[in-house]
Amino acid sequence: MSIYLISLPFTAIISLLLGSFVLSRNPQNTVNITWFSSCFSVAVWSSFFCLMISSKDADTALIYARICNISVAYISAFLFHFALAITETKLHFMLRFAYTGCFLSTIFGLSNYFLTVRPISMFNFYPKAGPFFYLLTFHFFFFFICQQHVFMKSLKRFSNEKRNQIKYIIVAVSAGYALGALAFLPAFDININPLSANFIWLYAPIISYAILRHQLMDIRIIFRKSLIYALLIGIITLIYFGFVFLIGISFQNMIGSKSFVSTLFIFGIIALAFKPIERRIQFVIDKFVFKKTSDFLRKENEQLMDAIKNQDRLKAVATLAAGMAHEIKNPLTAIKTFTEYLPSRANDPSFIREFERIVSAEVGKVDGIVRQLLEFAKPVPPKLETTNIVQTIDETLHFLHAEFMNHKIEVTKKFSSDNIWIKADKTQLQQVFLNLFLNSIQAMPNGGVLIISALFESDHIARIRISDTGDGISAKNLPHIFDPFFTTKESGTGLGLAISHGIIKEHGGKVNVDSKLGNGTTFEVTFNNAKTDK
Amino acid sequence: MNKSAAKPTILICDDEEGIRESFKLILEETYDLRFATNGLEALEMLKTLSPSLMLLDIKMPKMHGMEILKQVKKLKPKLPVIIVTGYQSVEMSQEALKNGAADYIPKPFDSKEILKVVSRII
Repeated sequence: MSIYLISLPFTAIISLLLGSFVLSRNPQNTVNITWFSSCFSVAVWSSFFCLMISSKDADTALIYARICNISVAYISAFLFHFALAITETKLHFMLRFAYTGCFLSTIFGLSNYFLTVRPISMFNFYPKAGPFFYLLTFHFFFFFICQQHVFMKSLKRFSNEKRNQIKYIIVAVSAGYALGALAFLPAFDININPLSANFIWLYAPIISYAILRHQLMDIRIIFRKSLIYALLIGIITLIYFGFVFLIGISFQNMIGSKSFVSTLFIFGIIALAFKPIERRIQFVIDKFVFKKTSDFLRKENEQLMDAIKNQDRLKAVATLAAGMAHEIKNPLTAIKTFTEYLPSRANDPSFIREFERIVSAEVGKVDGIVRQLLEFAKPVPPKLETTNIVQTIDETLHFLHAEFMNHKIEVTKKFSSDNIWIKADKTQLQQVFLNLFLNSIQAMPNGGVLIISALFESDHIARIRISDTGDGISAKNLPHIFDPFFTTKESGTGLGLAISHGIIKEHGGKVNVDSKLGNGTTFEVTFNNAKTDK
Repeated sequence: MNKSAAKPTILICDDEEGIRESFKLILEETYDLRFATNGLEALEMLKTLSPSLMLLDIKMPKMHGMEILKQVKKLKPKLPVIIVTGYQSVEMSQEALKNGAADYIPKPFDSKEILKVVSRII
């Protein structure tokens, strides 16, 4: 049995599983759709490549060869589209060019000017390139170069996390192309065995690894599962064929059965072996591909993120505490004055009444301030619940009232409604707004205006804009402001905006920033699935 | 005879009731006290009132204390203004003095200190 008859269906299964799982995560997202389409094209290519090389007659082989090679055009077009989508690049003209290539391949692929088939030493049949096949080859490699160019160019624009993710995708896609490229050679009468095509499926674990290493933990688990099941199916298929072969030569005569009994017997064996094999594969993949178990990595990642969030929170608490120390001075002054006069006015009933009224009210204020601070500072496990964004913004503004006053910042609020709800962890949301407001305060050391708007839009989107009239951010620094540890301030940790970005993403939201040096900064935060009382 | 007419008038501008009541406790016996809870109210009162002294908080709603100080100095250049605030900082006190404040008292204050500073200025 040729190794191609195992590796090619294996490639098809892995590609389909990966593509389908990614698509199921977000069927509306262009990145997911184009990734699925690329994987599907790879599956079509590998399946029909397998059928073509093992065909018994030339006519059937020709049909398979045409479908197989038409799909090659789609692989490069979809991967190019995927590259544009994941890097948020707009190149409509080139995209149209790529898909026109697919259309022409489909039309001309049906003619003998595209390809014919002939038997070669390694396979039953293999394509022989016609004139249009040269165009297909050009299309394939041209769009490989284009997508690499798109990836490379995007690296400058993105944060470290996404930059590294794209670097791994570059490696994975290049590996896939390099391994597949040899399959073109025999079509041009260069009779080299395209053995590398047996390893095309490797692009899947490379991308899995890329995703694993770059914190997309949920998708990583999906990739890992798909890899495990793809290997499982491969091994079980081998067991099945092995048993069919063994039973065929050894036992069938002994038990005198026909294929039904032997098949039943094989299925029994497979059913018993399924779980232990699955566990073993999972262990091997975790240990050798991911070095540690994924549960361990997930826990490690969560702990690290919690620690960073906590650090940022404590920094914010320190800022709040400084502001609140001033707040406490007012009630303290009243308590101090009334206590000073108590010994000399103890017999004055009107003083005692005032003492009770004022002192108890002022003690209540101190208690309220301390309680607010403790409430914010204490680490609580994240809890998603229906949260009023407008109320959360208002409360956070209240926390910072002293800071605004101190920095002579005028705060203007524009809310489309007092009640805009989303599913969120309120404390984390407070942390986001606190960081964004603190960022604005720091950008306006000589005072200014802070405009906060919260809009509920008809498609259930909550849009929050935070605009300051501060220093603004330079074009050079703008792409890095959400990078962890990136800061332009002498005392800053560079974690505030990175944490906020992470929290917003975890809540399914988006954050954009618009800024020009000297012209202020606007942060725009959007959340889906918002509700209002209108 | 109206007893309070003989007393020098002090305009106290602070949004916190506890602080206003504290000033009342400390100064009421010796001075005629008028109260404003924000800057706009104080400026309005100053159109008809000629106090001997103004005690002014910095952190207040509607108008920042430093802005009130500037407006008061435009309206009544000779009126002494004492800033009384919990937000003490070297920069803030320097700015207050630059804008014409007569003194700068941090909260929480001492009643004797208030009496001493007020009697020195009036």
